[in-house]
Amino acid sequence: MSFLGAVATLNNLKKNSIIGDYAIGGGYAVNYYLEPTLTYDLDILVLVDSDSDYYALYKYFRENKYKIENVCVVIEGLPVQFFPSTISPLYGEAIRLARKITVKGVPSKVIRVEHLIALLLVSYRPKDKIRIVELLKLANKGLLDEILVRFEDEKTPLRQRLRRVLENI
Amino acid sequence: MRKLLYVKDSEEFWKIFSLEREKRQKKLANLPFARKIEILEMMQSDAALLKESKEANET
Repeated sequence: MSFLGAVATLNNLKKNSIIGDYAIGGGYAVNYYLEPTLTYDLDILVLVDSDSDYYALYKYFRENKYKIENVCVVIEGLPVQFFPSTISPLYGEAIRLARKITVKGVPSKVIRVEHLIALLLVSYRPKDKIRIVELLKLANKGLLDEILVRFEDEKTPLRQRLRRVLENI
Repeated sequence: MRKLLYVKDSEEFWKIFSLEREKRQKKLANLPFARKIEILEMMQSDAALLKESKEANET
């Protein structure tokens, strides 16, 4: 599996306008901020204008003989899952405000820690709750609260979920 | 870490253990991302080996 190879491929796809702007999220983003922990998939948040753009992306990978396992596209041996910005405005903002990084000369973007926490509160699995506690130490609390207020709704009460995580430490 | 070997009280043991672990986590968290990726890729390769070995042992 090659993270750098996958990121270089994504940069190439972006340069050729096959994908729009993108940012690293999920386990690899957690690894950016915290100590290394085992993860198998590279979660990529990608800016798309519509659902049909998202399907076109998978069509491109299929036509170019990329292996597709469930929802993951295998790029340079690494399963990559694409999360389109059409899921929720939170994804779009996370991509637009992501931090520019360079890994061994390869440029990329990783979502900010505050957006990462918000997205972990959306997925809200047991392993996400553990990560949230550690990531909070690095977050700007004011900015995080502001993000949670703007992106929560009845189905995903982000601030209430955060309170529950903190109560259970 | 050596200090842990001489601790008799269990409460004291876990206190020192947690502090040491926190220190180690902080040190790893501060590594450059490229180094973290190298460690992660080693973990992925080790996990694949373990999985292979588990499957071989079960057949």
